[in-house]
Amino acid sequence: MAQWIPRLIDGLIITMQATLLGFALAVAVSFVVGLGSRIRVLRPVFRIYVEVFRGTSALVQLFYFFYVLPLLGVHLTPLVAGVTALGLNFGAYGSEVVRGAIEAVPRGQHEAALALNMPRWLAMYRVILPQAIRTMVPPFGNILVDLMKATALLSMISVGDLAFVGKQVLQSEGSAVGAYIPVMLMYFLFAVVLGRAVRGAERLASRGLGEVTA
Amino acid sequence: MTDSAGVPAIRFTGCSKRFGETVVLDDFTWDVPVGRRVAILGPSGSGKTTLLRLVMTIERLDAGVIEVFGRPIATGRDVPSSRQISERQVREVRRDVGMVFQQFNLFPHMSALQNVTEAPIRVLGKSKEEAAEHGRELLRQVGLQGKEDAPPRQLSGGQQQRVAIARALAMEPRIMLFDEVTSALDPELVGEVLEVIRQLAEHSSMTMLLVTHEIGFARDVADEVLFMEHGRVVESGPPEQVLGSPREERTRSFLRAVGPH
Amino acid sequence: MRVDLDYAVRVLPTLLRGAVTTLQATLGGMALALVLGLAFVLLLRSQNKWVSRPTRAVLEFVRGTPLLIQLFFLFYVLPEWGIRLGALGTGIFALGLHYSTYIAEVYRAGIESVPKGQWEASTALSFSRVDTWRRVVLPQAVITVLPMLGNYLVAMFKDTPLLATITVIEMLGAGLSAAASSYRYFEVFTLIGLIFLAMSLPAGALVRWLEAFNKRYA
Repeated sequence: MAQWIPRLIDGLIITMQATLLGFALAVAVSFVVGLGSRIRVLRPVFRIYVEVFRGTSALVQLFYFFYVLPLLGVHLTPLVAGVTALGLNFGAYGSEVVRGAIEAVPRGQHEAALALNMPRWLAMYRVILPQAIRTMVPPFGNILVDLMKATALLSMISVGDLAFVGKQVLQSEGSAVGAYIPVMLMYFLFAVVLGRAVRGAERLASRGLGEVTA
Repeated sequence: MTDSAGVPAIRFTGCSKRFGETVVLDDFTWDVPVGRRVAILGPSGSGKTTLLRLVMTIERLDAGVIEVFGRPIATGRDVPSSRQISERQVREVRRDVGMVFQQFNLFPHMSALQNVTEAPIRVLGKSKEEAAEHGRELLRQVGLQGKEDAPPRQLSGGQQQRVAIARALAMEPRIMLFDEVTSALDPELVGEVLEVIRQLAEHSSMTMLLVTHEIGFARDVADEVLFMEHGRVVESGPPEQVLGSPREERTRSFLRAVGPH
Repeated sequence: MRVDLDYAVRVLPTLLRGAVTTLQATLGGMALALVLGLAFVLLLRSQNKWVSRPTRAVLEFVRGTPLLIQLFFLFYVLPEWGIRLGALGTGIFALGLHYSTYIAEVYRAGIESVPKGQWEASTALSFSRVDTWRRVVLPQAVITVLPMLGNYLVAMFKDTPLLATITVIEMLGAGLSAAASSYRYFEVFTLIGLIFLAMSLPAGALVRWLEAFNKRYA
């Protein structure tokens, strides 16, 4: 079994890469769509995007990117296809988080910015978003951990992540316990680390507003 | 200055506003001369707060025109499109108007001083040093020396409201709108806020509209009192007349209800 | 690329037959998750920390690892242990187990949403413990819990394609085997996506309606 350890670590590194890249894309998409939805003409397009990606399965989306895009002349490496699919999938959820957090900032804050003659973009950038981001941190933390778990799907399109290595171990050693217990422990440890990071981010975010942290 | 030739600070012409079925301002026409301090009284729902929010362009006018120093700041939907004003023009005119809110609406993620300097730096384009210097001076004027770095949540309601006053003043408006600025305060904190406004009225030539329930304060500070109900003016005039010997029965019963002063 | 509509029409019945399995897996998984979740929340609320702490650890572990891995693990390990559930049975078991860890939290949130005063009032009226739960706590908790359960039902529905990886011929599995011979991936995956939307959009709308209902009456 020991000879598999370097392979498992390689797999874990790919899982980490996919998680962080996918999350970065998801956050970027969330803000573009969440903020863009405030512009009336863009709203229907973004609405359709959100409904389609939230209404269908992540694995189906992944296969769509992997099998269908090449037919349309778009050739992506498996990792890029996978990260893009996950980023767009979780971005659809994240955009709702961004939208909700912005709407949760009290009306009086918009009014005060207006009374100080701030243009709308400035009010958003300096007054509304800094407050909204604090409410966004916990839900984005959930998205991060969910996305990490979803990266296992990438093994289905031949990305050599942790789940993929697990399957290789199973095939050559023939023991599901020996193959998957170490893999699950590695995922779990990564989830714990991410959970810690999220709680740290929550503390950091709430500090400015002096909210009571549990 | 354009306001020298008898141009009013604020002119309302045929202004109407309704929320659903409720009429909060009904064909309202009124001039506020430059430098005038007007106290606006009336029962809740009489349209007095809406009046200020319309001038600040927080609410949209249904009909009529509001002009500030002779330039339109808000036009109703009935105004022909050729006379509608652009967002840029509105911002230009809005420079002259500042507002203080019932709920303070301080920016919770900024210190007291940042609250005061943010807009002068980013809207007026002042240098950080200049804005900070002016901001400290304003905080000193409202009695908050030493509180520059305090975040709003560490200040009492009265202190927060005084920061809000300094914040509005930092934009150097020629018109100040005070919307029930003491209504959200504990009774013992009302005095310090009113005193700041009193000082301001004494030492500046700003035009002021004050929506308030403090009759004594209105008598001290205002040189005109407007009593409103159901979106219309019931009566207006000098404080001693409207508050001392009101002509209208509605005014009398309102003053009786809010208690002796 | 040309879209072959004739092929789409021909493959649709295959996919719909798969969709029946998808629904079976979803409903079976949800039923199991509701029961297991209840068991977990009872263990979690135990006064004995030798019960509650390990329970919490198990829940954290299941929530912290991918469903796909759990699925493979159970698919290969259960037969080794002499437990033969078949592919669909294993899939339902994995879905139910994975989601029960979330549903346990939903139950807990539901119970905690009932104000303390309600328990005190029930004691004051000398209701029995059973009556307090049945007549006072549960009716209030259910209202809070229903939209959250709805969300997880929809989420589980969207996770059922994972079962294709352990040879269950649900919608995706049916589509993959059809596309493997026809190579018409565009038609197959677009149809699968549309069938998903056709089912999850009304379900999502129902959940939002429940949430709005709650906001009004909570």
